[in-house]
Amino acid sequence: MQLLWDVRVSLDLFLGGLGVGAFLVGVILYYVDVKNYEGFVKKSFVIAPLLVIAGLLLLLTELGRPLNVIKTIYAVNPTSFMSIGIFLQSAFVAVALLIAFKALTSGVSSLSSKIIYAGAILAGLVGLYHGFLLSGIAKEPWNNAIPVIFFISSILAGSSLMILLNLDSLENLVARFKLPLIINMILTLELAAVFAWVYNLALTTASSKHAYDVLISSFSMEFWVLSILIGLIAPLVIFTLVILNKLSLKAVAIPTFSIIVAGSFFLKNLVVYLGQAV
Amino acid sequence: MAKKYGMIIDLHRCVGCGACDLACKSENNTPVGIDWASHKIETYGVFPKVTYTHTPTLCNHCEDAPCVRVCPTHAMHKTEEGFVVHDPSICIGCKSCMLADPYGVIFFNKTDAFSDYVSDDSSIVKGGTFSKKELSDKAKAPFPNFNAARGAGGYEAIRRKGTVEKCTFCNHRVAQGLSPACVVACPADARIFGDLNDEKSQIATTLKAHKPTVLLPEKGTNPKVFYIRSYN
Repeated sequence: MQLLWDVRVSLDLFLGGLGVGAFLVGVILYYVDVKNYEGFVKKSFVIAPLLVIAGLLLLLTELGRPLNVIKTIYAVNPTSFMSIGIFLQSAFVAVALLIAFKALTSGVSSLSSKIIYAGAILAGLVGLYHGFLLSGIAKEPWNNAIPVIFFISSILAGSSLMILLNLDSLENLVARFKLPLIINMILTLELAAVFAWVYNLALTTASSKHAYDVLISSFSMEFWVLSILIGLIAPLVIFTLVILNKLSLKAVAIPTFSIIVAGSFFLKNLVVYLGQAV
Repeated sequence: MAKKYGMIIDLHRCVGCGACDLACKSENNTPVGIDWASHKIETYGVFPKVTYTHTPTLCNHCEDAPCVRVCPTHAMHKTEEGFVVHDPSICIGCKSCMLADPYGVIFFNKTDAFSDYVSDDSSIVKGGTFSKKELSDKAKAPFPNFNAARGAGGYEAIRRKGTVEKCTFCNHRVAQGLSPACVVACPADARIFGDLNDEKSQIATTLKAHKPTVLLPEKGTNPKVFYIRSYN
């Protein structure tokens, strides 16, 4: 397999997705009840740009001529998702850093809701861009299901990471939002999107069928075990048991939210590699 | 009407000698592992009834080039004559074009090509044979058979590391009224290069006289390298 994009690209998509997810969960709690979740929201707003920047720095090391990135400001190609994404990510990082700075210096309650709203829109667009970066290349496994899969995965992983960093708010979140139920709904959505992707690969053109064969043969461990079983089905089962009062969320929160985060990386890494293996 | 260049490869005339591959390397200063002009070999059947085909390959200079579509800086772009060419000065080395290219004819420079001719002063027989550095110094060139003409029109004669490179249809030669090096080198005249928009040109008349095929037509890229007849 000629690997043109290695794990650094997967890490960029994963860390960028974590950042976007963390930012969006912070935005939701900001609009719901900023006073009650001030600490949670502040952590979200501070960590989000750092994660996206970390991903972008890794991506820069993957480029042959990283210093030429500055030329993307004037050499724009509107048909290239990467060209558009560079502007989107730059805008998001700028807005998110401003929000983080204000949150740290003046507190979360002093933030303008307009700038938070702008940040949320940019975060959503960046979250979608991560998938479109691949689907724009138009290789068989990188079809139009990928932006949806990546976006939901980013929301899941980002919110899971923030819950892990705010375990003291866990009881409150469960009582107020029925957290396991919401997470299960998003996990189910992600499972549906992933199976739609696989179904599409298996049933359409000869070359997509070949991609499906490679997925279930060469990448079966990464797909079935790490991405699906550990990353999606195991947390779905655990949260179902929590909803049925068979398990205490407090006892399983750390491992369960951790495997959701890890599963997001496994899935994105698998997709990046699969596209290059066919 | 603007010129639109294309190429025909007559597979029935092709003898599979690989002169096109070598001429390209020599003309365009491409190092080992980077083959703007190449070929694929396929064998079919079961012995003793076997068939062998040799298909020369190069950039197809597609009308709807996916490499041009995905390039974030327009480094990969189309010229007015329909050449798909690359500008290394604005390339960021993201390799998107290589991923989007269904034909595998774009190459990434992982290292500085021919840098061993600057640094390697080891010789097989000390005092008896030339080292690479000595050869380069004697030839007063980056490497002995360096073609300085490739650097015409602002294009780097040897591309530095970190960017991609590909066949340009020898646009530096075409600008001087010459044919691409692979066309000139072919001992069987299997390649026809010319203006597709000129109805009286050899390429246009040959295309009309045959049923041309292209590589991976299902990709919808509208290649401008056509194949006529069959190898056997």
